[in-house]
Amino acid sequence: MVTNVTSLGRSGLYDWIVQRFSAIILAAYSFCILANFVMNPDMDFQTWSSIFEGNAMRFFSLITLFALCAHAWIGMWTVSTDYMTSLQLGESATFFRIMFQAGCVLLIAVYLLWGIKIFWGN
Amino acid sequence: MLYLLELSLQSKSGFALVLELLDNVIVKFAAWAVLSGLLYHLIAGIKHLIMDLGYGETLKGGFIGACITLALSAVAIVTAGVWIW
Repeated sequence: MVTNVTSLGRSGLYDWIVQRFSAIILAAYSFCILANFVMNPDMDFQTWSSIFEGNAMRFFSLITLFALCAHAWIGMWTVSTDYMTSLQLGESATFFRIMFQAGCVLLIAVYLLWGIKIFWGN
Repeated sequence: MLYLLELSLQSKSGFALVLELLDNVIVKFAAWAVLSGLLYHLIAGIKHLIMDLGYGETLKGGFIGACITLALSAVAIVTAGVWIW
């Protein structure tokens, strides 16, 4: 079996499971936010910030943030290992793919920390 | 989008600034583009989860699933556009 060090999990199956569960969390969070928008259409600052005031919503948002990072990493890893191969890029494909993956990971890390600052900072 | 979220939660003035920014057509279009991508991804993802449960894995099932996904996504994206504008 091809062992790969740049993927998130130890095995493809692990990634597959994490991808599905993070997707369910992300879908649940999306519907929750949608419900908030539907329930109070024209929100002012008070209503909007009160949604994220309670700990429940803060935890849910942070859990979703972690799920998003895992989902994105696995997703981008899958895309890059499918389409950035020697078939498309010739023999220097590995270099470009690794650079691309590093860029993705850096971006994901920035979003993670930024998100934490937003939901927990103030 | 994260920047808008951060601004909107920071303070009353931040929230007002977000409202102002959202009046700008380019910002509206960008928000709509991001939202459309998310909506399509969400609906197609739900289809994939259903297929993981074993439904709609035949050729015909796949075709029907794809049509439903595209139709639902179109409706959602148009609705999002109306909501933003």
